[in-house]
Amino acid sequence: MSLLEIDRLTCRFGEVTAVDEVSLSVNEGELLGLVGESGSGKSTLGRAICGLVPPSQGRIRFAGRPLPERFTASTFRRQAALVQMVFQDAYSAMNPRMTLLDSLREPLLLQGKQCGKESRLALDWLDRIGLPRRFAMRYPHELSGGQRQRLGIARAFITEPKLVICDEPVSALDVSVQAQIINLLQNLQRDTGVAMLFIAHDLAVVRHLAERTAVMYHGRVVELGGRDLFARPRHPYTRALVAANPGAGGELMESRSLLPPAATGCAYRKRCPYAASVCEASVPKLITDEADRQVACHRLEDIDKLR
Amino acid sequence: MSLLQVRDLHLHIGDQHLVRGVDLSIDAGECLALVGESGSGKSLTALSLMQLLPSNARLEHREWLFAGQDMRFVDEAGWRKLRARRIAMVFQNPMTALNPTMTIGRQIAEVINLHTGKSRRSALARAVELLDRLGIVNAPRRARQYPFELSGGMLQRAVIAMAVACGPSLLIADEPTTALDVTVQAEVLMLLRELCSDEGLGLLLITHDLGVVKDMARQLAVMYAGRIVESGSCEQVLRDPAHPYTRALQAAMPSLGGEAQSLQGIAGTPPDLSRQIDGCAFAPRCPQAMNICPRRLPPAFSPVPEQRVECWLWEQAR
Amino acid sequence: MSYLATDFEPLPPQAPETAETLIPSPPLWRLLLGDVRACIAALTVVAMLLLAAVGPWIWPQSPATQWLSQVSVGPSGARTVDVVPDDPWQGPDRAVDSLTALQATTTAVKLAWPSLPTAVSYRVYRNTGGVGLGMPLTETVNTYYADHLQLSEQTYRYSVVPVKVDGTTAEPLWIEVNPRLTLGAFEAKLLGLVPHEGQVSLPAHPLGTDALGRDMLSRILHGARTSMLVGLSAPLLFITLGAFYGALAGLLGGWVDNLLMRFADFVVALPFLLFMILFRVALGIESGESGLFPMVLAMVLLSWPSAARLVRGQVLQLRESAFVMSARLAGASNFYLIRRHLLPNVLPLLLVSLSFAIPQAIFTEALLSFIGMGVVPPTPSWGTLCNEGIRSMLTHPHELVIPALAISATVLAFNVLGDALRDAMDVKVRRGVR
Repeated sequence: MSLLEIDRLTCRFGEVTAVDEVSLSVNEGELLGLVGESGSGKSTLGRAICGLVPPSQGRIRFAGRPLPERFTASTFRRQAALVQMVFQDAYSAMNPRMTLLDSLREPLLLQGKQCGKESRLALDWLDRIGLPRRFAMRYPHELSGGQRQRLGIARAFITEPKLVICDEPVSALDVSVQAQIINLLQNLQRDTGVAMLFIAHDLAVVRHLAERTAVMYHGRVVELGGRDLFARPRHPYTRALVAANPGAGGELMESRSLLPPAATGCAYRKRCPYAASVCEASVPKLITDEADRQVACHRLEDIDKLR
Repeated sequence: MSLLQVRDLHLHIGDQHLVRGVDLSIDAGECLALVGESGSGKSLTALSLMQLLPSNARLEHREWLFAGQDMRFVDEAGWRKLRARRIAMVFQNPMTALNPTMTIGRQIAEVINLHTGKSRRSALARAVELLDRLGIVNAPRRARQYPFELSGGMLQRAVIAMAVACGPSLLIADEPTTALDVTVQAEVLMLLRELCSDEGLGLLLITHDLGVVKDMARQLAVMYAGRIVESGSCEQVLRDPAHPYTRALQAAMPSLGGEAQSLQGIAGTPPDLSRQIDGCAFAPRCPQAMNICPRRLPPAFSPVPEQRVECWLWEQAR
Repeated sequence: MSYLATDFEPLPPQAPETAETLIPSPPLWRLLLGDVRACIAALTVVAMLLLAAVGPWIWPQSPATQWLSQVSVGPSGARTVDVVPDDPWQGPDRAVDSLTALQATTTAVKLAWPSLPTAVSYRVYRNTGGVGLGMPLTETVNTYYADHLQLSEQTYRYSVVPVKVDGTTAEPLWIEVNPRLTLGAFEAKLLGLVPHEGQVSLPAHPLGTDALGRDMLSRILHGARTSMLVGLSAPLLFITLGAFYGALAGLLGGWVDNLLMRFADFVVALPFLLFMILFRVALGIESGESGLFPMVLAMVLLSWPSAARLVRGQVLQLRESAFVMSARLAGASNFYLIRRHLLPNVLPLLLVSLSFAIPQAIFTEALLSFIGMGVVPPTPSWGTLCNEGIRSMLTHPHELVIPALAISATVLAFNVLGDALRDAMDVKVRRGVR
């Protein structure tokens, strides 16, 4: 049963359409990866699910219930038990003037469900994320980047939400720390059975974590697939992404990565080596290509023949 | 003969001993990758090689040759001539590397004008030519634009154009593609590779991404806590890493191909560089540490020719 | 190389140290205590506040009492002086054979001299040092003269020049006189001093007196009250007001922000002086009454936009930061966000602007008092004291220097304290070396 259902969600900021008719669903306890380049709208999508960005069109349903139209403090408070977020910038994820204990307790106090047990729960979570309890009275700037990100994760999980949105939680970290954080997230997901939407630009990290992955380009999901997505990419953009991944050893697919997305038709067509007139005419729909694989490309069959 | 040869480079800033005896050697037309995590001293090594250090920095070395010239006897005026003309640098963030109030073309032309004495008009023409060479479509128009009008990938190309404008023989690139999208990164890396092979440019590539290293470099040096703990040919080191730290780095990196296996983080934190470290700096975090490790600095071993590793495990193996 | 046998045995498994190298930061007060300049500044500020609060009780002299016999004197101790009658002098009761001072007090110097047969009149001069005759006092046909003119305790040289019939002058007679401090009977009555055995005791003036003979210490202490009241209350109020206003505008954003900030721009355009006068009129304050309240009111109502803009800019940045979004996700209300997350993070900035606003307010009060819109004489403030001191700057510099020093020390102390507080609160500086 799907926990989160996004139906033709569009987010506009003035002239800019950051998210364009995206439909996605996340099942309970599932980890869905979301990859794309900067400006592809993946972060906006994550924020829209949390209610931090108002959708312009479309709807988001949570466990069958639609999200409220407008978010106020009280709707956020109700929502806090459903969805939480882990942010990319571990440095700004904690108020520099609050101790770790205060930071961890804050969501519980705001929720007001624990009545007095907040501190104990917060200390338990310090254990769970592998930080010594004596850190409770310290300030965020006394921690390393990895430790801060652990706290950011604890803060998101402490209200026991059904879905955690991780917005590039490991992009700013060193490789060795990144591995620790990824392992922590994996363990937490296993233990709590929470569903996660994992947003990242690093394909390898997403492949490592996600059961299903959606690839976004210019506000649209262009490909959605299971664990074999990166082994057998179908959409030309996903192919280019996989080929460009450093160390992949693949032949570079495109030399026009600097070209802006097209305004009409398929946004990728200017960079696409397979672009044809049909791509100019209309925006390709996300269609089921094979079992658990959806691709939005007009030329899918032709590409298969060409290769 | 190598283009750049540095032996036993030390850098102190305040009470921090940040680079602790680095040996480097780069040949013309070759790319050396310097890999390490943040705080390992890789960027400071690069800044030392450009003599771009804060005033309270103290630099020591046993030998420093650049294109046959002994750098000990170069004064500040000499350095000003060397920078850009002989040694150039590309930084991580192209947005801050460019002056936001000047057009791209003029900024590149200014460098050319300053160092080669070409007239402004011909310098500008050369700037446009360079931008074109670096794959910027419609270069004459782009040259008249300001940095904020260009995307990150284009800006980084402009920065590279500026760096190679005066035909340097050594290019130091400090995480040149970390801020870029992966498809753009691939193209910028390809450009750098072309520059190396076409112009015989020596390239010191500083990165934390072993994937980038694999694509780019022939030589690899892994840095930890101010020392190069392992170096050698890229292929050899990545296939058969000899230092536990290099192995740990590899085990921590998820890969796009192959079976997904669980990642191994490295427990603990890098050492405090204001303290003296007697033995191997990695010993407190090393899963294979021995009694001798924290006490004595391991000498360099060569498990195979072309590979150099500072680890006591190899003394034991002998 | 030689090795120990145990060298290559594996190390016993050790708990890898986790960030123990990071030293926990000491609490704010200990950081401030370790900072010498901050301690000095804090002590100065506390001392100034204390002086303003309890000083007038410790030193109960009135700042308005005029000691006409001690105008512009330097520091002096308490003493007992004679009370001298003020009756007009009818001449000496005995003849003298040379120029003589029959009485040498600060109330009067009574001179008498022998008459010269050829002289028809005598010119009397007074000099306070230097060559020449000095200031002409009178031309008289009598052979005596009483000088009442602004006498103080210093050496005077009196010269008497006889004038002959043909207008020529004879060799002058001269004498040096050191008048002793006395009080005229009328002045003593005016000051309410009752002579005891012909004597009254005068209070000490540790900082001297001003050009009107008022005790400087008492004026400084009372002036501190005025200056601190205006200098602290107005900035504290308008910065608090501006901070909340700016935080609200920044946090709500959109058209609310636009509206609020346009109103702030409108307030910036209002002329301060005009509004102060308007408030005076509206509150029914006549000229000659203290205008401090309308002054503070105008300052508070017109000066908050700068703080509001400052805070809004910061809040616009902060509200995009992850911790604010995360608190919002947890269900924090706007007021909670402002109080718990935004204001604590703009506090260092506010402290800096406060340390600039305090001296500015003190100076504004001084200026307005000077043009008669602030405190009314004889109520002192440091600003008016400076203004009065300027007039006698060359002859009696202490009248300017002392209030100027008080202003400088206070302003400097507030600045240094603000700086030190900001540094102590700054996480980057707090981190220490790194």
